[in-house]
Amino acid sequence: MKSTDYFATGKRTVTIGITIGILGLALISSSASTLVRTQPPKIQAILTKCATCHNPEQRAGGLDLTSEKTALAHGRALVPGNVDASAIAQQVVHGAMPPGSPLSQDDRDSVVAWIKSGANYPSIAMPQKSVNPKSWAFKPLILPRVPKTNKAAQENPIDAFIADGLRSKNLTPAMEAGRTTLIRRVTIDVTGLPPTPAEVSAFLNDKKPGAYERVVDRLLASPHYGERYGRFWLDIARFGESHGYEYDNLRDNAWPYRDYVINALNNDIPYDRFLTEQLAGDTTSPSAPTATGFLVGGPMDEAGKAASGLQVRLRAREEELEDMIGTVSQTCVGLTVNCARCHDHKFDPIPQIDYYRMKAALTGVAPGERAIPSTQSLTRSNSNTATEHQRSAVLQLKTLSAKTIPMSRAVLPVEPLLKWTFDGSPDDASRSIGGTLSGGAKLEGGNLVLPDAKSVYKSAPLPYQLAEKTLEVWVTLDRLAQRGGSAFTLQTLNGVTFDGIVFGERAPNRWMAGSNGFTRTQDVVASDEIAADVLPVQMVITYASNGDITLYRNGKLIGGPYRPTSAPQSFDSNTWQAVFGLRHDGSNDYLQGAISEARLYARVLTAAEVDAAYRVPPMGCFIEPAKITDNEKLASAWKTVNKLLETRSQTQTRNATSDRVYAVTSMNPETTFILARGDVNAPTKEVTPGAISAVSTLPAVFDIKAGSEESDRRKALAAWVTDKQNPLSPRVMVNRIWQWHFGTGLVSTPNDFGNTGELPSNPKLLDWLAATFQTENRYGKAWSIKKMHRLILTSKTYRQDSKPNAAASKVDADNRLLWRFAPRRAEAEVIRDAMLAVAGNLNTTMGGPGFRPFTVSSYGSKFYTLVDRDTPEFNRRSIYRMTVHSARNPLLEALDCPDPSSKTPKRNVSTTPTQALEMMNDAFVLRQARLLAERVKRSAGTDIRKQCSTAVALALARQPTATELTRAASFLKSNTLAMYCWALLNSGEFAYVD
Amino acid sequence: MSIDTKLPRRHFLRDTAAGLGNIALLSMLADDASASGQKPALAFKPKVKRVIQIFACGGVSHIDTFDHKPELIRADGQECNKTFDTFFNNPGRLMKSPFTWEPNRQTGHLISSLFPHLRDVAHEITWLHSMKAKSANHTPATFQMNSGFTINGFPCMGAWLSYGLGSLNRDLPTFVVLPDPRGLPAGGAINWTSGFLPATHQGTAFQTRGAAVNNLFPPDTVNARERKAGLALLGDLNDGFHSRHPDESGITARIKAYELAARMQVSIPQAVDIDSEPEHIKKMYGLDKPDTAGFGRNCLLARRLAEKGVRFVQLYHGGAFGSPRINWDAHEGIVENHVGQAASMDQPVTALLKDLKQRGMLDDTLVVWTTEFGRTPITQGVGATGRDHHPFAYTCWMAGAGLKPGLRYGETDELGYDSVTNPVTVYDFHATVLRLLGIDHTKLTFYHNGIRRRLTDVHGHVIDGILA
Repeated sequence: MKSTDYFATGKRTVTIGITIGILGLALISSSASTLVRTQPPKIQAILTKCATCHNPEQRAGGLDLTSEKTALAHGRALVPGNVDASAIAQQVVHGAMPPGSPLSQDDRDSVVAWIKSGANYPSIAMPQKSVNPKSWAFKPLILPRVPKTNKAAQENPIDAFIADGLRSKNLTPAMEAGRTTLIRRVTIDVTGLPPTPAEVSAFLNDKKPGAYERVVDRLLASPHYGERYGRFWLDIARFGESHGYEYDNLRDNAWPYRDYVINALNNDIPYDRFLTEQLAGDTTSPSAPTATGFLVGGPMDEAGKAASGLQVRLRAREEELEDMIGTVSQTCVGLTVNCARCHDHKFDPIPQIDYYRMKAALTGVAPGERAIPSTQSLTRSNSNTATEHQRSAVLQLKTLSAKTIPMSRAVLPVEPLLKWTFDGSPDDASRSIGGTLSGGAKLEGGNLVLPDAKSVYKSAPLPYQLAEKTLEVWVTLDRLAQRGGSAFTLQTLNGVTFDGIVFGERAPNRWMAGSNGFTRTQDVVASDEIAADVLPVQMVITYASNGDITLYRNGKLIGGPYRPTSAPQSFDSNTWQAVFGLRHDGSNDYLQGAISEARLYARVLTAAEVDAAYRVPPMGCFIEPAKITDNEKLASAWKTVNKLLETRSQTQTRNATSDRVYAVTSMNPETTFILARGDVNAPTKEVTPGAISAVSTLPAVFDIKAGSEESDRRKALAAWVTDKQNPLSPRVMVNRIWQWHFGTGLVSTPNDFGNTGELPSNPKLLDWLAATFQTENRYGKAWSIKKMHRLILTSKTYRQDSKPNAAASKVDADNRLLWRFAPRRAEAEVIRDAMLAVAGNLNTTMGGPGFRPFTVSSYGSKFYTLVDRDTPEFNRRSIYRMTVHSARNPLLEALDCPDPSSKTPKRNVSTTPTQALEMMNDAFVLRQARLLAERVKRSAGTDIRKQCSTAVALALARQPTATELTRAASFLKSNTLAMYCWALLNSGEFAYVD
Repeated sequence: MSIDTKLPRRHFLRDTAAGLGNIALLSMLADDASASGQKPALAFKPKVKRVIQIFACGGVSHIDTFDHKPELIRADGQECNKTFDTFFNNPGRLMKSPFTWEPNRQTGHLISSLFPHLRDVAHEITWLHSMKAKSANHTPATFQMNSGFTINGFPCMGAWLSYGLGSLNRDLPTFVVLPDPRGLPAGGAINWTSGFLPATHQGTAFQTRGAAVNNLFPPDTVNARERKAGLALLGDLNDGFHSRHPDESGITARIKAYELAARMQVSIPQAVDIDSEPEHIKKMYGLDKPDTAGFGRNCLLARRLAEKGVRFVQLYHGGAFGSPRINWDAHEGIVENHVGQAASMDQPVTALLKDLKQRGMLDDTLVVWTTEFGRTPITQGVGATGRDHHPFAYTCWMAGAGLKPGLRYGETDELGYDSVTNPVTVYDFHATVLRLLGIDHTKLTFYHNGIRRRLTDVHGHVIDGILA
């Protein structure tokens, strides 16, 4: 093979589209032309490029460059003769446009010269949609007829299809492999562990018909089966147990997803349900949010997502969503929808809009920790809402308060600048200043009621100058489990700058001083809000001119004072307004509940003044007596209520900490726009949730009712993926199963069934498997994964021996038609686990938090130092090793255990000196060799030949040959048994599945 | 036409995971491990055959080092009405560079007092003053400098070169990383990942303590004589297995890999034996002074490794967080931070350039100096003395064969706010490095999940203006 093979041919496909074609033509005509005005052809090419986004359809940045008229209509984009005034020139010259691939200097100069010379506008061809052909994989799935072949092949249709394929090349299948080979092959294949000598001899001695099938059934029933294939699913799901990027913090509660996958496979839950739970499990059953760990398994740029800089934040989120969209589309339907983020897919019929439809379906997904109800708490009433007991206690409190608190209103210690009482009285700012209610917000019973996640009240612009300030609000929440809304915000009229009393944005159940880009925000409140869903609470935040910010609740200090680095925000007259409900314009988070009163002071209230203000509750609110002696009955009622709420909160916390899982947390979905060239600053057309339009049997746009839950979008996506009319999903999955058994799929590009993927080596077989998978039939239930394993494992095709065949190699060197079983090196985990197993040292404990073979130090970021210990915990199977991005195990890594962040549908198999060094010298390997030797000695005693046969039986699942025995005997005379075992564990045979 | 969109199957297979295994295998089996075997594959005549990259972590302020802005002196303390894409979103006032600037004698290029040594060799360097990053956030920006992508999991440049060019010396790793002795960069080994490329192409990070490479030697508990016997036995076992599968190339390669590993056990200790260097060389790199000893050692090591045929050596200057900071991330104060960082880098880096030159190695070695972004011409916060991250403009440089020495390519505006003349993207930067190695950046591809991935994604123009 020549080394040119490293490189692509450079031949681009015709489907790149007409744009490039025009560009090419234009450049040719430009260079061939001798006209004085040589600009237009070149300019035409450049503008055509611009028009891929700046066209009437997308109008990126509100600009359409397809004609002189539309270009000039923009006003600032193009001013003929004036380069400085033409935004196009500025953008192009500074390399901002086209985004990511600035023009060459020559082209930039041309643009400048063209504008200078009066911008004689060339005619621009509208960019035409390049219509990519649909690949074979979009064709409807029809069960093919099983070919008529010889009788032996008829028993299992797989063999008939394979025989048919081989016959077309005049090939014949290989003989069946010997039993010794078969038992090792199938055991490692299905469980990832070698067979024990007892299992080998049981199979060798089972002379009754069906011995092999019984082994297959036994293995598929073994819990190790789920551990084995679960690993491959986790590869595809790019499952990581740390966030990656800069901080690489641990995901302590990501492991339940790993267990979910293992258990789902072991229980053979139908594949359609398996996918549905991973996309929208949180909606289908209360215990299934764990499965949604699938969506959020990728790396997360914590620093970027929490950055003050808006651009940094937006881009971090966009990358996160691309990773999610790529994972979903590649995993479920074998399409690389992620390639359509910036433009229509270059090779497949996936227009850019499909990407953004999928984005709309997933845009309510946020990675995070969430509580999963424990079995115990599931049987109780939902602990998130108040119980009857609590309600009646609160009712008693209200009654007592109404009786004992004099209705004559006490006077506030400081006169507020403005007061919103929402009762329509003359000094109510909602009347005097005015404002607008929207999204279902209403004034009712002297309260501002904010019932929905879109209800908001905004005041008119406020005619005051404000520097120092105190915000006070009396608020009740509909429920505590809500995130990011504001009870009382002051914002500039565009919403860009704000200060507000925000609930649960950065941490659930916590109040904070919300601000633009968190510039004046710190997480200083130490305890959770426990009462605001049953009682009105008074929240106060003071903002001093020196920058100090202080938080109070019900008259008591709860956070600060702290001084952010950002200067305090002051407001000029008529440039600002008050907002209730929405955090600020530009956010999408709303507080749901009721505001009884809001008070705005033009100075900082002291702690005493805050408490004094608490003593002046608005109508309908009530307060805790300052001293018990003030009103003993009321004080005791408060005590009861506080205790109940305390207990409720503790129960929640306990449930939460014992049953937390890293999974999908829902948030209000943002409106989704197509982004020109994927640029977060270039939104064009709004889109609604949907999927891939090329699957013509199903609607590409989902029917999502306005105002429905975020998760409804994901449910619709799951329904689309698992619909029997979707031909991709079953084809993709049976191909994966095939690959797991044979090393290569019928389609060798398991995550890509599009035009850049490979054609199926046996299309009819693939379709037969897919159709058989999808329906209930004599092989088993619809969507049963184990049914497919069994079909494949019991086929004669799978049972072929691996002997070379020079004639067949000439015709089909890669064994794509399966004229034999191709030997392959086992995966990293198999090699490690097998060492533990044969040394008698494997801890088979399943599930639960993984072992952590590292110590962690924290300097802002996390740093991991690997450790190797011989403790039972560390001797668990590799799938239970905590997978941390920056703490990869050198032994596993050298054996191609993938980077957790790259979606890996197929393991690489590389052979390197580093790999050899790890295998030779790693302390783990040396230890297993020693333990294997000890095990052998215990069982074989001092007889050297017996030692040899025991060691070989354990390590290689066979008996040694006579030559091997002689060689071993001479070796062991002057060397240790541990060194002999080391050689066995390092041998090619140990590392290979034959 | 759908047939055209399909990759020729044979070709395809070679590029996929399985196929690549065979490539690695074949180059390993080849007795002639020199680069000559690779040359026919190259699209251009290579100017250099190896690369040393110095990565200054944290974001070096271009306007306080190599890109002098007199206008900032005039505008010092004034407000700046431009939009910034910073990390902390706390814009302060314009701030002049607190350092003094003096010219390089040959070119007149003004370089600040932070780099007096480098100033002397500035005429040997090709300067890129108009770099533009895609992110104002360290890790994505660092990832982009390394891999072209701002996200986790893409192969870095060293891995691409290993994949595309192979090894110059089979007894040493192809891609070596020398982390700063003060600590690993944020993200650690994520920064030298081979991503979806086979593990072969992963960067080998040399350890600052013990053997340079993990598990290079067995622990002392293993008896050397016995190990030798064990290896002989292993050879026999493998021969037996091989005879049952004589055509299985992977099995053959595995046997060969063990032989190569044994050779590395000899060659790596020789390569890292800095004590064998003469005293004047050690002194040149600053090994005699505490400030420069750590990074100086790595620079010297880099030269030795390059000399012995390591294709790509990447040195990190700066680790992740420490207090005070151990990288260039000068949020709190440009003087306190940059003075210390520069003091540990200036002499060793200059020594590396001079040393390569005096050995004639600069004729076929490319040295690239990068950072992930620049720093704002304004302070971070009013009245403060630090600068925040600034992706719109920053300076990187290259030195070595195939370049125009002393050339200053690209310009920022008068404030150093934006790259206005000849902006250079990271893609352009990578495309140019590949070009100098003889590679067409659009042709070095690896198929992964539906895309023939490139170091330069779908972007990048070779910066013709700097090529000699």
